[in-house]
Amino acid sequence: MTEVMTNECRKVSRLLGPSLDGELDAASTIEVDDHVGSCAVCREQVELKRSMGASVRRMVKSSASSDFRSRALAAMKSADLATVTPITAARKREPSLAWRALLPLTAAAAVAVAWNARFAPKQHDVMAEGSLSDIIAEHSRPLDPESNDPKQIRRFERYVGVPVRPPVFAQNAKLVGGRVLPVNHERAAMLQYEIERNGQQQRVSVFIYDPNKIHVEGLDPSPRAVGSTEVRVGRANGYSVAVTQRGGVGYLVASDLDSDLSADLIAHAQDN
Amino acid sequence: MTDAIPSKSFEDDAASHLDALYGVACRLTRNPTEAEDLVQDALVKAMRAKEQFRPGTNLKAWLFRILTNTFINKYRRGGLERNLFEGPDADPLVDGWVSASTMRQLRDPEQVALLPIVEGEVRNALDALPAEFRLAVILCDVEEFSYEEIAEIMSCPVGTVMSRLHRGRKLLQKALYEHAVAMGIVKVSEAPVAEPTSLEAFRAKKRGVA
Repeated sequence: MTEVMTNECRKVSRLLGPSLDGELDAASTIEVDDHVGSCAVCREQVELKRSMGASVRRMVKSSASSDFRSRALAAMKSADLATVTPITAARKREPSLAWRALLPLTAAAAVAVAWNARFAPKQHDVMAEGSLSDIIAEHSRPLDPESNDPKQIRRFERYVGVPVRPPVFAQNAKLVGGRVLPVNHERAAMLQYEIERNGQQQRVSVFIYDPNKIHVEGLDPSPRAVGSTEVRVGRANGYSVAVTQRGGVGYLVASDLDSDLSADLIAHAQDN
Repeated sequence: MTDAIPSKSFEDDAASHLDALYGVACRLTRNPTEAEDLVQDALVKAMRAKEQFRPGTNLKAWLFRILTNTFINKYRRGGLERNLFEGPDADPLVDGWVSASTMRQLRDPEQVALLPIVEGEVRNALDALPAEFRLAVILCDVEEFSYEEIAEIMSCPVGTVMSRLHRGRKLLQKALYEHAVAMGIVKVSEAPVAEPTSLEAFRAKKRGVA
């Protein structure tokens, strides 16, 4: 029994890992086992490797949060629907998207919709860049609102440069609050809403900004008509996004809603 | 409204690996938020490419390959680092630099694990590894993929996997040993090398010109 390394140890050393990983052929395994059986240094080496593996395993194993899990599942579902929906059939079924759940407080404010992938032409989930990247990041990990008082929120106008009027949703939607935040080196107002669907709160973020300063790229370049409003839609980083302009004000809605929930929401809104 | 109840779908199968993908993504990106983005991107790509997946083959390995490629494309435009130390002789860590008794001191005597104070350093040690070593070690030790599967996931030969694992584990061991020394758990080891050889002499010997 030896406490120092020999040439034999050196030869076996590279095989210890594969041996523990069960990747050695029978002959090499016997060779390694024979040596380790009679060598204290290599035996310790094996034990240390085994312990290190166990500790690495303990450290790396982790569970995704339930919030992330549902977001990822929704993104997967959307990607799936976007891949398989035949365009012609989808167009035929496209309902009127007059979404009265989101009624602007004044006629000057625009309608913004949560977009339903199932009824829309083929869409690809894009990797958000530029302004859209900031917007999606804020929707995904929102900062606490600065205020939930609509009067206070209207005062965001002086930072944003356009009138900030919180849209009013149907009665099952609640304005959580709003704040001003930087978007691609400019400023936008972000209003957070919660919409109750089947006992669950769904987050919807409405961004209000000066469209001359903030340009949202990466959405479907051809707008669709929603009532008398032109809306551009798309998906970015797994979220659905809809953008419109009215009276020189840009409105963008980002939501976690998957296609089915969006459809349900729209149907429900039309019953009001 | 009638909900169709499909048999266990591709989506369900893929989603069942979400935790595993997330755990590995956390160590790849070293940032939980970026890990979420990475996993989501990978799963969305997988859904779009699901026709390319051959049923009956290893879905988990396929998903990890997409995750790895997404990571490289998104964060590492230049690909994974090239090996800095080319060739088997250029290993900076000669075996036998730590005595058996020192190695014993790093372990928990009660169970198969490192001493808690050493284990606490595993994350830092792992995060400090070059990404391709880190990934190889995690895929092997945590997800228990075979070398062949890791080669598939990392798009490299099996020999490269072995080399990355060997070096990754040794660097890890070295970092943990140094941490233990810094914490005063073990004394600086006097490497009990039987035949002290310089790297040059060792290389020469290997080439048979000593």
